[in-house]
Amino acid sequence: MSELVIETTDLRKEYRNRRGRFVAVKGLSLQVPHGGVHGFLGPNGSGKTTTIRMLLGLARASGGEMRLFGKEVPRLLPEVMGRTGAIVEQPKFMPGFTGRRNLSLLATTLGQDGRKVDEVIETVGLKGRDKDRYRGYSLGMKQRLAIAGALLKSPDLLILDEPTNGLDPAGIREIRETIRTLGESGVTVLLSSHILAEVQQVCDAVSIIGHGALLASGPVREVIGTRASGAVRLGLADLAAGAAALEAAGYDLRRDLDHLVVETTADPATLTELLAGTGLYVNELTPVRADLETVFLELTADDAGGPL
Amino acid sequence: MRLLLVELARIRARRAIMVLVAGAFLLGAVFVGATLWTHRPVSDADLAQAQQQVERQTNSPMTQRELRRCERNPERYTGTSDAAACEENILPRVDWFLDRPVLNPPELVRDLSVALVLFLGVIAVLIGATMIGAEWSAGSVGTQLLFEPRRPRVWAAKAAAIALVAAAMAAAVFTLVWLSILAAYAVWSDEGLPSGFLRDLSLTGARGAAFVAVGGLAGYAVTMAVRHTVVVVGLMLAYSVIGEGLLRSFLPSVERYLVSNNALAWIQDGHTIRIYPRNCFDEISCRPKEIAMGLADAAVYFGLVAGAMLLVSLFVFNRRDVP
Ligand SMILES: Nc1ncnc2c1ncn2[C@@H]1O[C@H](COP(=O)(O)OP(=O)(O)OP(=O)(O)O)[C@@H](O)[C@H]1O
Ligand SMILES: [Mg+2]
Repeated sequence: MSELVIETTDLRKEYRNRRGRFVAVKGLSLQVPHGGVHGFLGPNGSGKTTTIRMLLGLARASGGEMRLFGKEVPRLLPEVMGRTGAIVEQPKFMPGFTGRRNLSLLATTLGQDGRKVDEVIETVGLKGRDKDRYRGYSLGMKQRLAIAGALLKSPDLLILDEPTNGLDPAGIREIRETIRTLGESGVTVLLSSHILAEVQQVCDAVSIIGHGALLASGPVREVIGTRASGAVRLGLADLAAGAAALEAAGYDLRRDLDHLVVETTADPATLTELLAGTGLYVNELTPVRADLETVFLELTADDAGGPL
Repeated sequence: MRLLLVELARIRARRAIMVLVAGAFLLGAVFVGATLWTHRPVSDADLAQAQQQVERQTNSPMTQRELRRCERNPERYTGTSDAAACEENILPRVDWFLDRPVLNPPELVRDLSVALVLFLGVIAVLIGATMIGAEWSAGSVGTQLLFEPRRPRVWAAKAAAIALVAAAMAAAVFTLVWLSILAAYAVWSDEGLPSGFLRDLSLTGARGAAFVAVGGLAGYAVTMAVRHTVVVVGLMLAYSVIGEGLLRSFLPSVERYLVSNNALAWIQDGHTIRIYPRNCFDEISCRPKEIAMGLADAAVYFGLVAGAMLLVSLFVFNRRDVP
């Protein structure tokens, strides 16, 4: 199915603060197709949470259009909210209530009975602690409760804003497995996270934003592929001679232990041909694979270290 | 309806609110205790003590000297030449030492109810404010909106819940207070109650409950809009402690628009404001200006004030971003 579950067109959000107007999201057009896990990446302050809050009706867009399941939101939000589970930033519950009561109030809002509450508490591994006050929960337990809340609806779309924030390694893996399983079972997951290795592991596709605008979007492999810097690792018997020959031909390169790394987007055959012409024979040639992190850092380079 | 049940369950689980409600009942107990104590019937021990005091004072040298002086010159003391009248005039009597009001429920309906309802109103404002203030500070309003995105519904469910809770609390406290007082009256007095008394009392109670509900709604409406409990508590204190006094002293004509006067008019079914002139020289110029306020005036006043607060609150909640 190629139906879009999340679609924004020219989405804008301006905040007014003391220094004047600040545009947090500028003309973001996001498309998340049905099914699978979609990564939503961007540096701190790039507008991920703001976008998610607008999609869920918590914040009012200053311009543009949004659709969930093809329905225009926020106008038709009541029609799609029952199918949309979400975590937005930190978990927010009543501190004086137990985890269970917090969930059961939400379940009653949905018209559910207690069974579903038991089920989700079990799913997120909060059993045994569900009758403690939320105030006394650790960060990870709070996060688990938030995930439990999002699962109450048996959602078709899950919007998760940094869901593994504060979880221990085992918890992170559990949630990752849960997300992957959900994604495979036909649930669409929008996953915002800063842990790129994790994103690369679970996501089928990603959208990368910076300064409130889309920088890249598509299946993970494509995004990495198009942006890969294009470098090859060469193994040679005589590294010094090879380096001299390549430099003479105008290539950018560096030594990497007993290999040469050549920056090039050209066909590797031209390299072997050139070297063979000078009597040097390549005994190893591998493309240097860019990963999501490299691509991400490259794409958002202008943000790194800059003012948020 | 489901949302209302959620809100009622939430209120029931809030410890701060339960403490405030318990405080309301405690307040009622204090009112009953104080009223019954000041109106307690004269006991044998009280009587004996009073008689003792009479005896002591009768035998005191000063009283005896006074009595002798009177007997020598009764004209000056009693206005008659009858020396026997002196004893009656000068010697102490038992009832001088038993100066205690008799419990009379019809007389109490007004003053006692007004004080009780005003206190309950303050508690209701606090309940309304803390109910939603705590949710804002926890951020759980945003979580709730993920489950019910129709903000006006959420707003209305919370408003209905606080109005119900406040009214029920007021009705319960009012009823308990009056049941205790009437029970004491039944034991202490042989006289019945005037006809129409119970009707009067129930109407006062109903108006009181409505007043307290409006208090709760006001606390809720403002806190829902400004999102901080302390702001509302501060506003309420500022208005009641200095606000009315300031308005009163600078703008005497504002009297009929003060919350206190309207509250009195509403609870007591009518109230007369007396404004005394600042400087006057004779009886006529010193007479206060009187403004009569009826139940309808107060109803319109509270209807408009509370209605405006609620509308603004709903509008603000519906529009503003929720964290
Ligand atoms: N309520 C607000 N008022 C003013 N500015 C805001 C508000 N919320 C967010 N912003 C600004 O909008 C920008 C985007 O913030 P947002 O929270 O969407 O970033 P993010 O991508 O989620 O970042 P992070 O990775 O740190 O969670 C930031 O510069 C932030 O300061
Ligand atoms: Mg964020």
